[in-house]
Amino acid sequence: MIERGRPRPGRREPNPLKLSRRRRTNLSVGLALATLVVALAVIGAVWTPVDPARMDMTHRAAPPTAAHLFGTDEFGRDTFSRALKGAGSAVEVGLGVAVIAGTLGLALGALAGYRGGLVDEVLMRLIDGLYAFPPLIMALALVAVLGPGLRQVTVAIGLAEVPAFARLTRSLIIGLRQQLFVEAARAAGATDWQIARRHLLPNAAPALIVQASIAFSTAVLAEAALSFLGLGVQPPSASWGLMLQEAQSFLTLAPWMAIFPGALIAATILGFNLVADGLAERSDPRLR
Amino acid sequence: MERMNGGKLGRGAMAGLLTFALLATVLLPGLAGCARKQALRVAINTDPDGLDPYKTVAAATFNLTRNIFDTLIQTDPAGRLGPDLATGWQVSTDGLTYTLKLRTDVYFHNGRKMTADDVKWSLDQMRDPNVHKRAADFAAIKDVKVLAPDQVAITLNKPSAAFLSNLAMGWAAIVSKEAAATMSQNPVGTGPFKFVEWKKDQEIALERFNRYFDPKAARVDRVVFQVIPEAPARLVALKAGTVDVVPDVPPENANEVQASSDLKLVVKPMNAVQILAINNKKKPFDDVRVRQALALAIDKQTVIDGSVWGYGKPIASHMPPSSDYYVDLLAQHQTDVAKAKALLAQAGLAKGFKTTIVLPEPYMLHRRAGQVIAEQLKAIGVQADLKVIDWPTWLSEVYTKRNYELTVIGHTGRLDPDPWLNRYVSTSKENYMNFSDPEYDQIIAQAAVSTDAAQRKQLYGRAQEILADQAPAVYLQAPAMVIGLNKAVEGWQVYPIDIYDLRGVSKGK
Repeated sequence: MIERGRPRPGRREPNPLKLSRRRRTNLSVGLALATLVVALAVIGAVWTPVDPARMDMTHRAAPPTAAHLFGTDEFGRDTFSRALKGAGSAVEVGLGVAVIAGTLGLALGALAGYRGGLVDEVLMRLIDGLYAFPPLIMALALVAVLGPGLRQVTVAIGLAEVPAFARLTRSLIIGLRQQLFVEAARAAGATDWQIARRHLLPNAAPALIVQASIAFSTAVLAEAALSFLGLGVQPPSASWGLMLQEAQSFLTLAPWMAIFPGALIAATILGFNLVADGLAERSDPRLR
Repeated sequence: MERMNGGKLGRGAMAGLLTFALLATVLLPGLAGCARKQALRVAINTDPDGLDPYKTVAAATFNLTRNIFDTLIQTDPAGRLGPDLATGWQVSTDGLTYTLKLRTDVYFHNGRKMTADDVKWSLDQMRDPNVHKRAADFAAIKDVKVLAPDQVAITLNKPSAAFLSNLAMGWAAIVSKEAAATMSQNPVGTGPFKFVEWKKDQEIALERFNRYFDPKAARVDRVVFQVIPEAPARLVALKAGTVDVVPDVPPENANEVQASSDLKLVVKPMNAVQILAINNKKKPFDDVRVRQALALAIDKQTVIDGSVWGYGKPIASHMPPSSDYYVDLLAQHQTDVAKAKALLAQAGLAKGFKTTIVLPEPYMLHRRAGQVIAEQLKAIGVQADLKVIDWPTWLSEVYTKRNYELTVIGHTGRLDPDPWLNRYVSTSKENYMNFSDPEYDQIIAQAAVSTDAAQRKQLYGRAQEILADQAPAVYLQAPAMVIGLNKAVEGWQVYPIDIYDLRGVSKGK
């Protein structure tokens, strides 16, 4: 199940020095893993050792060798090349979801938080309604309507992640709106748009970036789950979830078919969650 | 030291307890085994949509119902017809009247004796399209008459060569009329096992029926069909000994079953064909050269290796090699990419084209075959996108609405060549390929009413040739059935129709 992520609320801090080291470790390990995944995706986009669709029945389910670093799958396709392409799918979905959910959620949340009143009431009840569905279930329902495929899955997960962003943005904006510097700006005659751009967004940005990082990892996991169920990336395109699904009946015969995509999914989720954690702790003044 | 002493004492007591526990675990199940009835557990992949053989077309139902019901005529593992509830039959010289002699020692599970009236009632139900889902199989029946308590006469509208074999199918079961309303949940037949209980999505339990006319048929007291949807989980259950039979082991796991000292593997040819069906009305597939190019471009052995781990036999027409009517046309239809390209060029498609292969989600072998085919078609410039769709969508879009270009699918489980081949007749409701060929239509019509075995064989041979030449579909393979069994299980048979027949199946120690 996917946890709906939110930035960590402030915590009490008995030993600031010790924690700050842990925080740094979180962030650097997270950044290293995230960079690795993105690097794999970029490499996969321009080059793979073997054509990831090329089949070779004489080398089906062959163990890892120098020629096939991650072994081959049931059609003799190179698992490493497919894992590289899978990284591409994962990053594409992760970024797409962060952008879709970020843009829509930010717009809705900011509107509700800044305007307040009836607008807030209507928008937030709608968002609350959507919030009641676990994101994966909602993405499943949306994919059923949109049809399978990488783009459809990105849109579906993106929409499913909108409520989290909207709620967060709204609460940030409400908090900021009452700050003295906002009132001062308004008194000085700044327009709503100027206030939003100059004062609200920059102050809300750190928390939103954290949320985007969480949305990224949620999206990668959701894409893997949907592809595993056959609703996501369609063969012969590669996706880690699809690779896991294909590996199911080969767990004893060719465990590498499951181990490598599984490990990559885990690394991606861990990486982006650690980045989110590290950033949250860094940007939260109560933890500094 | 004291603590150690205490420990020692404790250990002594412990050892005693352990010994007792060990003896108890060894002996008790043995004792219980004597008292408890012997059960055979068979893993099935889906919960059936009901147990009424008249109300479904699903193999998942017929696989089980053979054990609860009997048919008038039955097939042996080789596909030859033999007596079951009917001990014998005579056909009138005009081929229109079948007189069946019935057994007189048959009881329904509710204790009532079966008579000719029950047979007539069942046959009348079977040919009523409002009652029976496969009424088309019995549409040739004009009238059923009870001649004596052990004799019925069936009159047909026109001679039908496939009629007797249709009576051997799972959906031709003789049922108890008083249970008709609740048959789906509480089936009552005359079979060797009677229905006990059905835990939805878990298991279906049957027990030995003591008044079955052949007292030696049922060799186990109880049969449990356990629903395990995931293939890897079925395999684990077999290895762990919680099920005794897995009738559909994924072929890639065959070696694993064979390697286990507790298990044995049975591989039998399946009475089935896997085809790449083509919509003959959609451009560019309305051009026979394009269809032939597809057939020439696909290497069947690679499809077999990629989809069923090599456990299949290549075919060139719509008939499995296990059939008596099979004609081997492989030599004339070898893979030839150069020729395929030339044909495409003649059809004005030298640069190739784009198309879509839809694949039915529940069938791993078809999904895999689709991937292999898409890869092979690249060689002739055909770019085939794959689209996996769920089963209801496949049935409505492909089979009913014929709104598709290419699809990979299997056809299974018929005895007579007529039901195998008549789906390509231009007027057939099941002709989802939209194939149309006057000579073919004429041959099938002629063969269907012919009672001359040699002539039928010759006509169906010609029909297979037409299919291989005209390529309304690309004929890929006849897959094998891979069955995993506990070594204690003896007597499991494989039939050319979709049934798990547990008569004669025993389970030793």
